[in-house]
Amino acid sequence: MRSGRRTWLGLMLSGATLLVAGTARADASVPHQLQAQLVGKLASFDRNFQTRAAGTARILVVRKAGDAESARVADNLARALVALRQVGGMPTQVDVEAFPGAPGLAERCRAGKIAIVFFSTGLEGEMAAAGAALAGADILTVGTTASDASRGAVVAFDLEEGRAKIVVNLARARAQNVSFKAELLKLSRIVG
Amino acid sequence: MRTLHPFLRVLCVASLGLAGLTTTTAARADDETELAELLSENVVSGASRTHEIASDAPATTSTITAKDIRRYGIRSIAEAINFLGMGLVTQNPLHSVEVAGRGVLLTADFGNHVLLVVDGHVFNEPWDGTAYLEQGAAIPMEIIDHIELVLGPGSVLYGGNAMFGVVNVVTKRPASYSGVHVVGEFGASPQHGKGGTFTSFAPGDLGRSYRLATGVGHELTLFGKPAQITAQLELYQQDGPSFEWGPQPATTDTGAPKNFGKRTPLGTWGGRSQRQYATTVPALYTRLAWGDFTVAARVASYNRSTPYVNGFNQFRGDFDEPQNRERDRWISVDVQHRGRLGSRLTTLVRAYADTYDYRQDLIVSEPTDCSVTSAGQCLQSALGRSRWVGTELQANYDWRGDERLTTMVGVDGRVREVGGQTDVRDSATRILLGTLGQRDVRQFVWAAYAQQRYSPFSILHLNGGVRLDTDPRAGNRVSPRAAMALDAWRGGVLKTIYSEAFRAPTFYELYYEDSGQLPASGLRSEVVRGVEATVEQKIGQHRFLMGGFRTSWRNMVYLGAADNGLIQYQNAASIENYGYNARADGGFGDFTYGLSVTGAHSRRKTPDGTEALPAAPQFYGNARVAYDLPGSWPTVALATSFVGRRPADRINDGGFAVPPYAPAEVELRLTLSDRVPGFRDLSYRLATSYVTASRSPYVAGPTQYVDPAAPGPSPVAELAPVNRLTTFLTLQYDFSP
Repeated sequence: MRSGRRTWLGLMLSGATLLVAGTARADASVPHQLQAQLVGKLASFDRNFQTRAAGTARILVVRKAGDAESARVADNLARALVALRQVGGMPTQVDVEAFPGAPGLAERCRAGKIAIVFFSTGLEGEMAAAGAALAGADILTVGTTASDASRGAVVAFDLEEGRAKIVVNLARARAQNVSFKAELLKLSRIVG
Repeated sequence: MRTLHPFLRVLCVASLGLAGLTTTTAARADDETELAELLSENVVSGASRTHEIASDAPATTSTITAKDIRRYGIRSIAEAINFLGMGLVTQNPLHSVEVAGRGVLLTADFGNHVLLVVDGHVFNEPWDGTAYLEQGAAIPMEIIDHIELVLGPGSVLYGGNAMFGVVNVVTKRPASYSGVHVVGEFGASPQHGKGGTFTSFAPGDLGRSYRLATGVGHELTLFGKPAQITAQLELYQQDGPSFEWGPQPATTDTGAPKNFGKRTPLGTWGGRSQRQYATTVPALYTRLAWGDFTVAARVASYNRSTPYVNGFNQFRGDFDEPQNRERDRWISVDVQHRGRLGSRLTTLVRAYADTYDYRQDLIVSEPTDCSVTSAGQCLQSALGRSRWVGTELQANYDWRGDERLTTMVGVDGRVREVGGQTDVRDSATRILLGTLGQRDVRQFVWAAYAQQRYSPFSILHLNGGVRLDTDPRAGNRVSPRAAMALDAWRGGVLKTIYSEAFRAPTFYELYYEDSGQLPASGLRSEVVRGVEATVEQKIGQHRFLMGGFRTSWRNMVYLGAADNGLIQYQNAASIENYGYNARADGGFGDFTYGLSVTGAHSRRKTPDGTEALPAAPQFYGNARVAYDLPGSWPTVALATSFVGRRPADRINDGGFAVPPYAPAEVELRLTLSDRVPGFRDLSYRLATSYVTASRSPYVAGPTQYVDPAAPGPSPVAELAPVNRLTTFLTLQYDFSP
């Protein structure tokens, strides 16, 4: 086959793949297992976590309804959190649910005494509303990609210099009664 | 009932309180240690083209961070490798650096045994497979987020050239490079004399370097989608220092004194070089991420002159002639799209295009050295050119949805046009006297690869892969890899890896010809097979690694004797190599340290017998410490790079009565860095570098070979000098939003 035809064939195949492929969204570049381990550790640096959790670290992983990728990430995060057995020094209870809307999430967290909400992918557009609904609530919210911290999560993760970086939204933390110790903030990137 | 004395009561309460505080303090310290350990975990993407924790990766890797690049005064990828990496080392022949991997160095390969990848784009060009690692890489250092050194044969996912390994460069995103940045750097070195002495520190005699750069990092919304852009434009210029050479007597084949131009006496090569050691590198690198698309582009030029006749790139030419120079130019564009089909299938579509050209001009006053008959002085120009455009399709399927059983398959096809020739002109009139070896070819090259990753248990990580490369130059090659990583105990990882890599002969090796060299169209690919085992232990922020390796190299391209006294590239050599790597790094609060060492035994077998590898260091490594002084005091960092005694490049074929060896060498670099007091957005980096050795392992001058039958005492090989002392100051102003 002449090289010119091969070139066109390659370009057509590439174009076809582009047409059928959906959006990948920003990949959670920090491996999920490492994210879960970090959540398990940083809860120990939240002065209010012990009081909030009251003996059991209840973690709610929320996914976007009807989004298979969001469900996959949520399941991976939940599995990694369960494997930790303890978060902030307390036994964990992990649930995965579809995002019920911002007001619904606030009610679910209040009723279920949720200590940590972990947003899966696909909920970037909901985070601001969720953050507003959770203002005044005593809860730690976590996003899987760095920009989630700017969108409304208290904590998110980025990959910087080939290592995980914790991103903290201090304003959101104050609004949700999360008080991180200086030792954690020194290791983090602060936004908001 | 008796009660406790009040003093004892207080003592008990105090003791209980202290015990509780100590326990709490210890527990908090444990949390801090464990958090720091998690945050110091390297996440690599170069080994399997997937983000994973380094200890799970199917290769031995080391990561060099932007922070360390700045802290230790690193100015190029080559310096990063030497001072901060493990397993690779570079040597500077006052030309582009030569790179060695685990005790194997192949002189005059111009980096074509290591693959340089930047943001997923392979920088090695197809004319001579060249990848530059010094300032000629033309990647602004401030824009680099981290560099991964992936050791060992790595063709399974990348194709040819990855025989020592892969240097994977990842650039910053705006989150860590936000705003506008202006950089100015000035360096100076003293005039050097014979034996590595410093003969003058007068301002007019100093060698100088300058670098001016401006960079930007910005997040924005573009056509309704989030976008991120990082870019840096810079100009690097270096001139000198000057060195003293020879004098070396030289005659033609008829016994007449050779003419090396007007700056050295007839029949003599040598004196002080002042005009022929300079570098200019203008470069622009930019990366735009827009939605699921990423576009990266590089435009650069690398202009340089090498101050001496040598045996690797400048076999002829006048002494101290500023017109003797080389130039590489590149334009590269890479467009990537990451997509998803369902919850388990991700796709990568990549389209890329590059154009490259090379030119080497040499003014040759000795007519007998001109490749075409010339009445007088000639201008000999070696020209190379290549253009290539290609596309890569990759799919990754997560069978169980938990990332523990994944399959990656991909195809990569490109069309490349490669050409070259040698023009000989009359240097005064520029009239073309003749052209040698002109050839242009257009070829289609494609490859297919597959990788299977499987973790049957959380502690066991298996990786198997294979790649088929088709190359019209040397036929098809299959490159497999099999690796296992076992989390054997807390913080401990055992790894074993088998992998292969190849390098197809370059256009230059196949087709170059001149009056003394024949083309070699029958060359086959070089092949390396390697096996290694490592043990890694993490204790908090401290990491230790120890490993052994064995590699076997076949069909090595070797410039050997052909018919009629001419030379020709041939597949005439093999190499056997084994050795060890060890590394330790970590930190205590504001104090950080690191060290690495590589020891190897390498032997090459040629038609002439078994011999040491020329210029290949068999023992090398580095050590570094840094401390962030409190308050307004700067960060102090001391880095050292060391290389053991090694044979010169002409050890085997130079015929010298005293075999030439370069002495062991230690380079020390002391760097101070901090904000400029009183200026929040202005930072500085002041560094001094000192090298203990005065000679490199490269024979200099026209005396590259000694005729054993020639009368008189056998000449001693003159080894090229080393720039032993450099001081530089970098100022960076950050206009942050």
